[in-house]
Amino acid sequence: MATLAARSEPFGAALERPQPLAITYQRLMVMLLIFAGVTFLIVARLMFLQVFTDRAPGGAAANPLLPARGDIVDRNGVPLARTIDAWTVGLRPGDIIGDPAEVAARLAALMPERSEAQYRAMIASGRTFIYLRRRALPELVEAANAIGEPGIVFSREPERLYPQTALAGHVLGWTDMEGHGVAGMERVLEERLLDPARRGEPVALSIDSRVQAAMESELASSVTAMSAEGGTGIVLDVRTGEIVAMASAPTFNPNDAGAANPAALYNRATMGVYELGSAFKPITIAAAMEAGVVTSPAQRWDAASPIQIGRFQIGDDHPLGRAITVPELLVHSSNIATAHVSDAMGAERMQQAFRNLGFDEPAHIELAERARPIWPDDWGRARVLTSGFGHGVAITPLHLASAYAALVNGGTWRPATLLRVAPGQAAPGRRVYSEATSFRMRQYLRMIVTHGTGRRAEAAGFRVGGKTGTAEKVSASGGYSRRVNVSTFAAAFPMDEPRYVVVVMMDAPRGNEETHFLTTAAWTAAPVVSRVIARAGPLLGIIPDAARDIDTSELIPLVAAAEH
Amino acid sequence: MIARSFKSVVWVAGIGGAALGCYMLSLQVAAERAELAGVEQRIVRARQAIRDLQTELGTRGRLSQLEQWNSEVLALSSPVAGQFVESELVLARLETRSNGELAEGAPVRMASAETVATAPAPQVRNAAAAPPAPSAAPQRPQVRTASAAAPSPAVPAVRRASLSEATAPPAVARARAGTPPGPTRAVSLLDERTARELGEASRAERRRAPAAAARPERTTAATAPRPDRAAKD
Repeated sequence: MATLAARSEPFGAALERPQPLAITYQRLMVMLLIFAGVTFLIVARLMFLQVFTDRAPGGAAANPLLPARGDIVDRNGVPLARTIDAWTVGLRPGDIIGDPAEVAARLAALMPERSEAQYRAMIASGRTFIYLRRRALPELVEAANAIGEPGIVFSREPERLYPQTALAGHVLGWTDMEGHGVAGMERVLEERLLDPARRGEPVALSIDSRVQAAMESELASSVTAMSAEGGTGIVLDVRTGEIVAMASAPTFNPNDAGAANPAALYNRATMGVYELGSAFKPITIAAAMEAGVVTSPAQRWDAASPIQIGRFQIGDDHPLGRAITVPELLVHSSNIATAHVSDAMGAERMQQAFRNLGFDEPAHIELAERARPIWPDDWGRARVLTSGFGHGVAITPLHLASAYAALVNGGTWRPATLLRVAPGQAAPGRRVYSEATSFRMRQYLRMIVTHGTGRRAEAAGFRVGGKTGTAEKVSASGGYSRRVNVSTFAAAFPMDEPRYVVVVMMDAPRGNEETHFLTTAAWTAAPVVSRVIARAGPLLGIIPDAARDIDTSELIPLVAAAEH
Repeated sequence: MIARSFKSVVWVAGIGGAALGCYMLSLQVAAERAELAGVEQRIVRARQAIRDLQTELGTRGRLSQLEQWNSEVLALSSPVAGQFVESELVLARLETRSNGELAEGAPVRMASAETVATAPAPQVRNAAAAPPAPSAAPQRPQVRTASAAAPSPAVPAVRRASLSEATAPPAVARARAGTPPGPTRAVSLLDERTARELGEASRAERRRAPAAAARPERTTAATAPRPDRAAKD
C-alpha cells in the first residue's frame, strides 16, 4: 500500500505542470501495471489459499489419533492391548552441566534400580544417549525434571500397554522394544496391526475377557492348591470354533515379558503335548459307532479280565469282572472294554478316526506357538489297543477341545480360531460324525457326569457332560510314573443344546486334603470345570435351569449297577 | 477538469480499497482457518485425553483387580439356578414365597378380564397402587384369583396380561408390558433390588396413564402389543 501512496503523489503534481502527453501515458501505463500487479498478487494469494489450504486439515498420514500399532480388543470390545504415549527418561552425558556426583546421587534416589556409582559411570561414559527409564510414570518425570539438568531429557514414545496385565498373556503375546510382535497374536497380526490403512480399527479376538478371567483365576487357585506343575484351560464355542478363553498356568505379564520366568511363557494349551488318557474314550466310541463296530448301547463288551499284550497288561482301576454295556464302559471308564472296541476297529480305522480330528497335524489355530502331536509310526496291536484310551498318541489340549466340539455339535469338526467370527461366518468344517452319533455321545457324556466318574464337574442347572482323563506322565527317565499324572477333564454344556466345550488339564497335580490326596482328574480337573462353568455360564448367555436336561432315561437301565 | 483529474484519484483509491478489501478478506479467511485448525487440534487432544483416561480407568479396573476386591471385600458369587426366573408365572410364585406368612402353596391363578371390570376401587388395596411404599410387603396374595370367570381357556397369555396390568405384582406388570403376548420366555435375574426397581418403574408408568387404567376396555388393549410401552422399555 505504501507503494501506491508514493506513486500517487507525482501523479497529482503532474496536474499542476502540464507535461507532454507521452509522459502522461507512460505514467498511466506504469500505474496500470502496478495496480494490475497488486491485484494479481491478491488474486493469486486468494487462489493459493483456496487451492492449497482448503483440503482436509492434517490428512490420514498425520492423524494423531491413529495409533502407531493397532489395538487388540476382546470379543466385546474390552481393550486387551493398546499403544500409549509413555514418558521416557533419557540421559545425554555430554549435556550435563552440573556436578556429576550430585546428579548421580539424585538420580539414584529417584530411580533406585541402579546405584549411584553406576549413574556416575553413565555420565562419564561419553555416550550420546542412554535410556534411564522407559514407560516412566508422570510423577517420576516431574521429579527428574526438578533436578533441573539439561542433560536429562524426556520424550514421549509409543509403548505397548496390556491394560489387563496378565490376562490372556499367552494369547496376546508381547512386543519387543521397537514395537514388533514377538509372540502370540501380536506376532500373528503384525502386518494387520501396523498397516496404516487398517490399524485405526481395533482387531477383535474371540476371547471373552470375563470368561478368560474366570478361567484363569479358577485354574490358578487350583494349580496353587494342588501344587501342580502347571495347568491349562480352554473354553471353545462348539458352533464356530472360536476360543472364548484359553489360559495356561503359570501366567506372565506381557507388559514386562522379559522379566517373566521362561517356564511361564510356555503356552500349555497349544505347545504342551500330552497323552490325555481316558478323555479319548468317547472319541473311540464315537468312531466305533460311525464304523458300525458299536451298533447299540446295549451291546456288551468284555471287561472281565485284563488283556495281556506282550509285556503290557491292560487293566482297570476298578475291575468290573463282567461284560459291560457301552454306557457302562464310559461311566466306569473301563480300559479293558475300550481296548476290545479298539481291537474290533483295527489299526486302519483307529488311525482314520484320529486323523479326521486332526490329531496327526499341529493344532489348527493362528498362533505360531503350537506343537506337533506325537503321532506314532508303528501301529501294532498294542498301539491300537492303548490308543483307544489315550495312550501312545500325544496331543495338545486344544486338539482335544476341538475334537469334543465335533463330538457334541452334531458331528462337524472345525478349526479353532482366536479371531472373532461374525455371525454366520463360521468355517464350514468337515463332518466327522453323524447327527445321531453326536446325540448319543451327548447322552453318554451327560451320564458320565450324572452317574459316573465326572460327578464333581456338575454345575447345578448347567447340564454339564464330560469325561475324565487321568494319564500317567512320562517321567524324565522315559517310563510312566504312576504317581505323577496329567489329569484332564473335557466337558461340554449345556448338554441338551451344547454351546461350549470346556477343557481343563492339570499337569502333575499333587493331592491335598480337599482331594483326599488323589490326583485323578475327577478330583483335580473336574471341580475346576464345574466352577468355571458356574461362573462363566451366565456370562455366555447360558441360563442355568434345573428343570431342563438331555433325556438319558433310555440309557439309565443299562448302567443299573452303577452304584459305587 | 478538476472533476476529471479527481476521477483518477477516485479510481486509484477505489482500486486500492478494493485490493485492500480483498487482502483483508484473505487475511480473515486465513485467521478463521487457523482458529478452526486450533479447535480441531483441541478436539484431537481431548480425544487423546479420553483415550488415555479410558486406558487408565481400564487398567485400574482390570479384571484381576476386580477379582481381588471381590475376594477381599464384596464376596459376590455367581448366580445359581434358583436365582433365574423362567417366566412371569414363576416370578409371581417367587414373590409369594418370599413373603413369609404365605403358605408355601399359595396359588397363582390366571385372572380373567372380569378382575379388571370389577375394578378400580378394590384394586387400590393392592400394594402396587400405593406409590410411597415400594417395598411394603402385601399382606395377601398379590395375584388376585378370578379364574372362575375365565371365559376361554385358549388365551392364557391374554388374560395374564390383563391381570398384570391391574393387580399383579408390579414386577410382573413391567415384565409383561415390554413383551408381546404369546409364549415368550422372559428370563430375568431377580434379586430384591431389581424387583423393587421394576416395581417402581411399573408404578411410574401407571401414573403416567391413569385414565387408561380405569377403563374396562383396556383389557383388550393390553393384550395387543403396545409399541409405545415397548419403546419405553
